[in-house]
Amino acid sequence: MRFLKQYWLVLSIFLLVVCLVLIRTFNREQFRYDAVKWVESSIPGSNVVTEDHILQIDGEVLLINLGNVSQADRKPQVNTLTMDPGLILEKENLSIIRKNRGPVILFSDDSSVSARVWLVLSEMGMKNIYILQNDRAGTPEN
Amino acid sequence: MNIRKEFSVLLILLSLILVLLPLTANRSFTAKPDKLLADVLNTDASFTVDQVAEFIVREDPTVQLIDLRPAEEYRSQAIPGAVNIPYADFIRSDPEIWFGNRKVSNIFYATDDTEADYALVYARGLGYENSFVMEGGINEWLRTVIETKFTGERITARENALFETRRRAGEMFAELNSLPDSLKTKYLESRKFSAKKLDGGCE
Repeated sequence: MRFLKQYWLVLSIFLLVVCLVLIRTFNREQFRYDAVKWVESSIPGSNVVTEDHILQIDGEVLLINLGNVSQADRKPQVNTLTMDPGLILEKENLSIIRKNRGPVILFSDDSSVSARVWLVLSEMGMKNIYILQNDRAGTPEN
Repeated sequence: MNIRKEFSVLLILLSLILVLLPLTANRSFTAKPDKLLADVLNTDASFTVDQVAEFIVREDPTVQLIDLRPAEEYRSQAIPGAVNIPYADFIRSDPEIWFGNRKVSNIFYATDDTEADYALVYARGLGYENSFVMEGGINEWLRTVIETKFTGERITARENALFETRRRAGEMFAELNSLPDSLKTKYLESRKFSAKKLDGGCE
């Protein structure tokens, strides 16, 4: 008690800094610390899967169509959603991705879009995100 | 005396926080996620191979091409003026080494798009807004610039200018890649050196 009284100012500054650090560290709307850690899986390419791999994955696979790919080209037994890549960070979309109990696989007719969205989501701390290899991502609708 | 004591306790406690933070925290994304996403999905973040060919022909000193392919691939076929930073090295090293000069636009390319796209998001996320990609990578460069042909009977002034740029860039590419191995290695090594000095620019 005496210690608290003696150092109340010091402790309050310390607690404030701790709170700020915790908010920054665990805020799910922000990028996580250590950018290298979240991008590392792209170096050996372990973040890229093929359609054959999808069927072998355990868990609830969620495919996210980020582009103009015909739904008819998707495997019917895999849950597929279409999202506008520019709106993927909206709360409802992020909540769908976070709540999925299994890998989330991004695909698009433009491989650049899925690669760029993948890195943004990964840096936000999402671990179970993959990209579908583009040559098998289906054919454009038009 | 009392203030000094309090200050010391505060410093000790704050240093505890520093100890618990990740060592590479200085390499964390600084941009806001939604802003970064909008930035990297914007078409302004990419250059076409024709635009890059023009930079090379003009020997534009404000542009630095960065080849993210493995060193062997770069040695066997390089775009004039490009420096080689293999993708893994690029991710694991301090980006300030490569991007210290903010006046230079860094244009990434790899075999196709994917690694250049990661590099774009990574660099822009770290605050290097002067980062871009060459659409389609070296595969698109070979298809569009090197294999360019004119087959029609008439050509507009615009088409002619485009064809001439491609032809000149193609010649520069062929000149560099047909150099004897020793000369080519010397040239590529000199590019490495200029990257370290953060000079940038196409030669």
